[in-house]
Amino acid sequence: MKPEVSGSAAEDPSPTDGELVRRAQQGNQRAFDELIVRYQRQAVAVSYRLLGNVHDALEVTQNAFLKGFTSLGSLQNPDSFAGWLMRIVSNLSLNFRRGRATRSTMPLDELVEGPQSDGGWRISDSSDPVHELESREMGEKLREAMGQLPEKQRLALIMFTMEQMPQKQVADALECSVEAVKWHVFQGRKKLRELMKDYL
Amino acid sequence: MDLNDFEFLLTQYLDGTLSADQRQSVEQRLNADPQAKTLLEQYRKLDQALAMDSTTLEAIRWDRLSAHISDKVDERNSTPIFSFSWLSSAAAVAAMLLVVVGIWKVYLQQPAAHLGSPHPEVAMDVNVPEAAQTTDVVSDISIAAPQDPAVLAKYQTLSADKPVITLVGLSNNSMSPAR
Repeated sequence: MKPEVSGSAAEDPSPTDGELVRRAQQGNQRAFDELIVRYQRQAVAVSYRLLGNVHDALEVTQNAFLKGFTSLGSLQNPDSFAGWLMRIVSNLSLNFRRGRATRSTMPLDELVEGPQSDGGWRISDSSDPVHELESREMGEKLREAMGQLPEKQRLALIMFTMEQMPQKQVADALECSVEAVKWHVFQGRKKLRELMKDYL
Repeated sequence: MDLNDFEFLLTQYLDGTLSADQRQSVEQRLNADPQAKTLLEQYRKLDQALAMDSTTLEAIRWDRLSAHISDKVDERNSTPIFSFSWLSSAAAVAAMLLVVVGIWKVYLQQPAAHLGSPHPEVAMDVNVPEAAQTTDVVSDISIAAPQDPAVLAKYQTLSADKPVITLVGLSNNSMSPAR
């Protein structure tokens, strides 16, 4: 089935996540397609930040949506779909990293344009070679420093500071309060500032 | 306010989540304390560094990805799910049902004496003709006494001071096998 990006789920031009989830729970797969369109980018981004590899992130994203679809009946609050999905994405990503599961079954050549990523982080898109080198070095250092953070702090930083997800959504994903999200983000930033002090 | 509390407020300041009063308080300290200003700059640079360029993700063909995932969901949706866990759960339920039915059958085959009589040794057969299954006809009811003389003797002792069987609907009537 090919999802249509807008106006496909029903007459309502922009149904809420909760409405789409309820329709999907009643067997309307087009409503779920709309949710895929809405959250695929966020899912890939969160997974990519955790795995550092776009191919693995695509694989995890596909699996997260499949798992989300089959578990949709267990979602108590349809309005919290985004946070719930990001929880699945982060859990699958962490499991993927621990197990380094089998290689991708995704048609990557069709899904990614141009030269494929080496998995490195870059801080800026500068065309200046010196700046580019510095930004690559800083990117590597940052990635290393992120790897030293406790899981919740890392996830809170990725979702809130990097992906700019709403705090409530992050709280749903991490199964904690909004206040706890603020605290995890702060602790993560503080530790990163210490680890990155030579670059700041 | 200690440095840790101030740092917390400073990051909230950068996120724009402070109340007007808190924001004013942070700004006053930033104006008065150069160290606080340096701290703010460090956090600002860190946030910029965290905002990684999205070149890699921009290379993804999102329309194709959503179509691909949707197809996979469609496949999953049209395939009956007989996972190992589903099968093992079904097998466990079936086994439990078999055990329960088996126990129930064994239970039903036990003599009446095992069904909770307060005096199991004096259990007996009560034969009520079909036509007599009303309160009007009582004379046709026969009771087969226990065959074992020892059991019968005990039963007679028991029945001497109180009725053993009372038929519903027959006031002041009681029956015992001794009759």
